[in-house]
Amino acid sequence: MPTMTSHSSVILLAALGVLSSAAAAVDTSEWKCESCPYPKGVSGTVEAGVGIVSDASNRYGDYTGLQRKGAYALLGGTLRQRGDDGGFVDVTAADLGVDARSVDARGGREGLYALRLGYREVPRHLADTAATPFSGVGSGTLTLPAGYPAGSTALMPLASTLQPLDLGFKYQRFDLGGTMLAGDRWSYSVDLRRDVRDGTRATSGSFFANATQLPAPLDQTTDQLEAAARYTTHNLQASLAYEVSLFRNREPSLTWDSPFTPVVAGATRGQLALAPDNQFHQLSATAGYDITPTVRASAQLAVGRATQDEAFVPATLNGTLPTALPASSLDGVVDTFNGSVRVTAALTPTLKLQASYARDVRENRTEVRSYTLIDTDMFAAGTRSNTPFTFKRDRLKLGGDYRGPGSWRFNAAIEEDDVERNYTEAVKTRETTVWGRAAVRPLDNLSLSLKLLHGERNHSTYGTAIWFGLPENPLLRKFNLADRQRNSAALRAEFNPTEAITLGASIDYANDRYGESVVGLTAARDVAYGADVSAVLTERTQASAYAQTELMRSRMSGSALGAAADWRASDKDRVTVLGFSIRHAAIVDKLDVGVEATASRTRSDTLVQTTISDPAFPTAAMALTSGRLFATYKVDPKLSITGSLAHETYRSQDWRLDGVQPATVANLLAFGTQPSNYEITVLRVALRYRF
Amino acid sequence: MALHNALLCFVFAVCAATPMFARAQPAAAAAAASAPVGDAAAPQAYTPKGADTCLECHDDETAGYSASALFKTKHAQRGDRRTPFGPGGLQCEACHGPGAAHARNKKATSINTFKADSKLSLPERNQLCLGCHAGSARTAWHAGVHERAGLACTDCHKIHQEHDAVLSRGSEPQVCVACHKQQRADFQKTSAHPVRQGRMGCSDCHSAHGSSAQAMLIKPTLNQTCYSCHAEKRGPLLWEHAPVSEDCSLCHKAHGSVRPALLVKSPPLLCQQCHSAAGHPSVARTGAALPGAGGVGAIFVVVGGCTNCHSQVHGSNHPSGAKLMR
Repeated sequence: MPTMTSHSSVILLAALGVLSSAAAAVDTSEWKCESCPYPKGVSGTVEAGVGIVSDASNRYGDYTGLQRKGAYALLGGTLRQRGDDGGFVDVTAADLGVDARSVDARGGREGLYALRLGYREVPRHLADTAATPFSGVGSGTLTLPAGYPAGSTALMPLASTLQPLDLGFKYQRFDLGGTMLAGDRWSYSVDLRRDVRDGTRATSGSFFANATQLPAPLDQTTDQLEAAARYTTHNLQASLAYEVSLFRNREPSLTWDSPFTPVVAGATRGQLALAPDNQFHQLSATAGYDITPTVRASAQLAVGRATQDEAFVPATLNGTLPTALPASSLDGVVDTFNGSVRVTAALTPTLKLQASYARDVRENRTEVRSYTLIDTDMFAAGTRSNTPFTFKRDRLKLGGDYRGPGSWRFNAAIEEDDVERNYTEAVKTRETTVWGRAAVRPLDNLSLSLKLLHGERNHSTYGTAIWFGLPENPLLRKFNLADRQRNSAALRAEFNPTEAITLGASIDYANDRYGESVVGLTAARDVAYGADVSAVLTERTQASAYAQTELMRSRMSGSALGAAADWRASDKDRVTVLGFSIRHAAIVDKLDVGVEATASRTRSDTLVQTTISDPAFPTAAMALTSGRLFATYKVDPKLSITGSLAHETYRSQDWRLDGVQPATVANLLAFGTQPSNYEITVLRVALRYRF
Repeated sequence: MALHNALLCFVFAVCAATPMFARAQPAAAAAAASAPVGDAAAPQAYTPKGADTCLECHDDETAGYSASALFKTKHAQRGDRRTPFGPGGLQCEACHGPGAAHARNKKATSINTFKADSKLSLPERNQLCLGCHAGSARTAWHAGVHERAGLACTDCHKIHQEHDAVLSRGSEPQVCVACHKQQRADFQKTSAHPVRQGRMGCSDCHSAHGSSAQAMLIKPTLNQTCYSCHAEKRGPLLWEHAPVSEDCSLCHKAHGSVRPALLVKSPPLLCQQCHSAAGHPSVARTGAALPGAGGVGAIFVVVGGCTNCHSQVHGSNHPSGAKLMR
């Protein structure tokens, strides 16, 4: 048993449950808590009102459910009950009047068991403008009306056949869970979750050089179950859990009529294989143990298996091409292993060391078979074997934290990250990273910190990947394999000129150089600056504001001749975000008002040049400005009126979409989706009743 | 090799810290360690009436603190003997320590205030919480980034409020972005996970108490974390796309991107970082490819770029999907 002078007595008290011993020693018979303001009975709030949206926009409605112009119901509330025997109920419901509704209900007896029931929706609206000539949208079969196919989009009867397309889906999540405590040390839990996606999303299909944007059906369910047992004492925590995840797709394929005149006989219909049913099982265990009050170890182990055995769709819908398959399904198997161990030791009250090791393996045991290589239902050219990718990753980390002298605090670590891959140009990569951080409070109201990091990655012999058809340029270095030098720095400052004001500033810099890469990504840099202020202006007024700007730049080289670089490209992205908020108790305990606003601006410039005269791409930009005025007036202790007026504008330009209508590109039948623009005002007024 | 030698030194240091090899501590440290905060052998250090004593003064409310709000939370559940207010519990003094001296002199220095200037050090304050809350999600706290950064439990958790903001999906990000300011900006970008709209919280992907995974993710790896919502990408598939199977973040930025679909770069340049084979993958696509500029090769740059044809970019289970076109 360590002597009391070796360690803080409080740490011992807390960690070893000695506080319970203290409780036993103290006479608490007179501690009746008579003045403790326990709530009695059932309490809660009900909020009901109306919201009005000034205009329609799918972009605005994405995630919010407010895509339609007009009125909608505001409905929500809370319910709470606490019993002296530990019984409790908590219910929260929000946004019940829109397609982003959520309900969360919990109840049980604290210290014995708890049940949870949850439901939430996340609406997705993927495009403001989209059109398609296909019938059968939402199903797995898309057909074309008379007048198709045609030699190019300019020759298609689009004017008479295009119909508006509402791309999007509803995402729903159902949660059901329970926890039971058995005695002081054991607890058990079961959690069920169902995710449902129902609607459409964008995809595309092609025949050689002709492509068509297609609405793919989404009718997917993911069911997850996790069962766990946990054991906890004052110095040992352990858990064992089993998780299973089942993914089901009721639309396993998408078949479409080609709108383009077939180049090869029989190439009139295509079929995409959509995500197949799959499942994943995982058994995991975690443990943490206080070896001594100053030395702690924890570990995690998880073994899993993912399988997929959906029946293959036919190799081709072109009756003139071979259709033989080596098997009727994949029988795919991926085994996963994730193990980690961490040890920390406080050598002295001011010096602490950490060491950790983690190994993550994704081993693909799927059988390798040879398949006839059929190119977009047009040509059969040779065979190709599948390549079951396996990844093994080892991470070793050693670090230390030192406090002192004075207010100084130092952290440092050295990390090694080894990855082994198959079917790749470089089987092994190793990255060694060293970083250090120093923090100090030179004044009571000023804190500063600086972190510096340096990393170097090297790879084993870089060869040629022979499994994927034509070989890559021998001078190419894939950026996840390439030798890389990484440097970064982060500076933080926080200053409180008065107790009521906090000023913060930050600078972040990161630079990657791929020194050995003649072709491929060669450099990337990210610089970000930030400043923020928060202030308690008066007893009744709080304000905050922030500004952040980020500049990201990357460069890469390419070669059209499979040799030294003969073209270069750069991406430059600039982001600026401003925000402020003010909250004011205009009439104490009666009227609260506030305003908050954010403005976000992004600009992206892409330049690809073979010669200096090659034109750049236009700037892609986005401007999002949101403002909200809000107020709550308390009519009496039970009844309040809340209101808000929100205004949001969104402007964007994107050369990938600007002016690209269905017939703009001769060999691409597009949806014609344009960059979103909207200006929306939302007025909300509601009554809130507290009971 | 250097790292392995360092590991051996670490093991030796750990052994030195264990009881078998304990050495006498410097006098100053010993004196500090023995300073009484909670002396189990001195019941008179506690108040005569527990919470009733404390509430004689602490019945106030501020923006960040409410005495009454605590009694609406689980910490004050009388029927649960695990809580400070359960049968025989030390009530306020279970967390704040013996309060008799503070009740007499009313000085903040005579009790644990849980503030940065509390008489208890940061590890001591955190250990008061971990003494009850060490299990399950906090098993890896000791080795996590937040612990190393000197984060106090109370920096994120507000016990004396009816609703702890960090425990609710809609309000949790406001707590996190107090430090993680870059992510606040990321959620405002062109494409982002729906944190700004309140549909997701940081804890949907991250375990703030620490985990074995990079970036404190809730699952052992980044891909497994993504698959917990995006199971359709899990496979295994007949024709896999190597970067997809290895690491989703090779192509996506989960917090937000200036490009659609959280992409780090747009096609074709995104793809041409790795694909340089003779033929169309290695051809430079300049602004001249745009429809308004002549449009030769427009299909390679507009709308989905490479994915106009190679739409099955996450992999395909089609027997003829080797080129990710079926």
